[in-house]
Amino acid sequence: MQTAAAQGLPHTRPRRRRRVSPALVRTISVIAFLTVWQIAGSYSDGLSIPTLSNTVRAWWKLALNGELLQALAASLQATLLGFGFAGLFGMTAGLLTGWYQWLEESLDIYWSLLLVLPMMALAPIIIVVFGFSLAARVIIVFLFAVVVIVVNTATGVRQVDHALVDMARSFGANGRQLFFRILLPAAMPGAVAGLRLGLGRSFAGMVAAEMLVSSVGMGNLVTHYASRFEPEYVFAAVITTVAVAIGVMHSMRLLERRFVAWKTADRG
Amino acid sequence: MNRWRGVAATALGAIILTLAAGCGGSKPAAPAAAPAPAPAPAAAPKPAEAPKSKGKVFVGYPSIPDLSDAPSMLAWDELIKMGYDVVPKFLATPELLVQAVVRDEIPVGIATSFAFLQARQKGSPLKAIAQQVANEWSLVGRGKTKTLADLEGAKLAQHSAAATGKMMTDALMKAKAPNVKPQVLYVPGSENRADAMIKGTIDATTVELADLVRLQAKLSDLNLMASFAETLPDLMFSVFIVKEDMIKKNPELLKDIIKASLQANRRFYDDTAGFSERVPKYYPAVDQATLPQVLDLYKKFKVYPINGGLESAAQKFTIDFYVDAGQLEKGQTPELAFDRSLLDAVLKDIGKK
Repeated sequence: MQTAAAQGLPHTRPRRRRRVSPALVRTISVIAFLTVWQIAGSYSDGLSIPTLSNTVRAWWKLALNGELLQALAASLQATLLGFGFAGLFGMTAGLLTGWYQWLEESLDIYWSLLLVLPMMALAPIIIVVFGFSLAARVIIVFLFAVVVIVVNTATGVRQVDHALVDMARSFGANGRQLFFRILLPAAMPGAVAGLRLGLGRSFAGMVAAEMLVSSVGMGNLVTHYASRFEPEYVFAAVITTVAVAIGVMHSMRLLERRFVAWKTADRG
Repeated sequence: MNRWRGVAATALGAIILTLAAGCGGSKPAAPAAAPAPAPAPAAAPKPAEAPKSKGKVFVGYPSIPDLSDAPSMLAWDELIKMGYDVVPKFLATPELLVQAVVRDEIPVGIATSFAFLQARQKGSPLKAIAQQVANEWSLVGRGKTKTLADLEGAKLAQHSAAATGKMMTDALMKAKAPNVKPQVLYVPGSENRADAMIKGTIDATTVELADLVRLQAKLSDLNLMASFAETLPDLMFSVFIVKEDMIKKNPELLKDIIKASLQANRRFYDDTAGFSERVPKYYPAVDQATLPQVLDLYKKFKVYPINGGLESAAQKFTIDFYVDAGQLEKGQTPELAFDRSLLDAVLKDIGKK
């Protein structure tokens, strides 16, 4: 290849392509968002969108007076209980539904129904049966979370490579070995994905339940301050709920890496 | 290719059906509410032989209406006679109603006095121009829950943390049973709380007069723990609210609304039997069996202000009550919050009773 000089062209240095750091882009976008929020809040009527600064002040007050921690503890109690039951039931039902075709065909309509049903429409019935109790809140959280766990786990089972199953059988594996050595590990990625989605929905269900049936928890905090036209406290409560949910879901990712390390290793 | 055409056709059909369903005209939907909402009332009818049309008037309600809202709904008939096309808007909570008025989505709303004063405290340019309903609340318990002391650990249901019923109960307990700690639950709607009481899922609650009568009919072990209608008659429960500039922009509309409301209130006292017959028109869920007893109590406690309420003593008492309850900051005065000018003009026109 001839140089630029040999071709009679003016000599220029080769330009290096600058790579913008994704972390920098993220930081700039967050700063931009916070700036827009502060400005929007200052133009608001004071009843709906608070400023960022007022929200931070409100969060600090709630944290200092213990209201935030108390509400969070009550919420997490219902969330973790509801999610725990949903996880146990969901994974069991998902594994069975995915493996036994007759079961899938029988129950598929109910999973589809629960997927599209607005869960809060069931809340009045739950309250009539269980009263205004922790049980009612746990059941609402359970209903929010269970279906995605079932469906994702069942999908994980159905996607198990049948060649593995045939191979195991040909080597004399019995039902128990087939289940624990082949089926369960292979279905894990789907099941864990379902658990992660279910966890997110658990938080949504928790807030919805508390806004409806409870005098405790983050949902109640939201309702309480909304009824007093104090949107800065509402935003503080919502942001805290979202932050905690993201934190818990991040922990799920660590769990995913532990139990399906082989899957993530495959991606290299 | 044929398969994709089929998929596209199905998707297009679904979109068209969805749009058609959404565009279909319908009466205002009942607002979302907590357990067992009452059926939404009928929309205001069109005028049969309308005088010169004065246009649409939107009137906002802070929840699914109940019997105590009946005169204000019957007032729609008076407004229709005046030539208005009445469009009621039922919102889920008083806070939404206040926000709708502040944003000029609804020119006139019926809000609880607390929600109104709270919004003013946050700087909203609102005024109360007349009173809708006086205090008609009671605190009731069931079975062993007879006195305030029995509320210790009992399930006490209230509308919300910012509800006037809760504040009245808290004030009473602070005065007479300060160390008692009930287990407070939030159940929006007096009717829903009465239902919960009947089912036995709560031990005590605050209810409106209509639900008090219903509970007395259904429960042999009901205990009337406090009648706030008797002990706090000057506490204004709900008021007509407008934006301040509306008073200057459209005083005639507001005077017509006040006049219609007063006329409906007065017809209640003058012709209670006729009121009973007219109520189901806008409140189909009315319980006819207990209605006569409820109306007697409404008359006894003067629940519907025949002269529009908003007396000076009531204005001051209402603000002071919320300040003493620690729910409102000092600084609001009756002169800033309430405006009687339109009400006085209407009373000059139709006379004071």
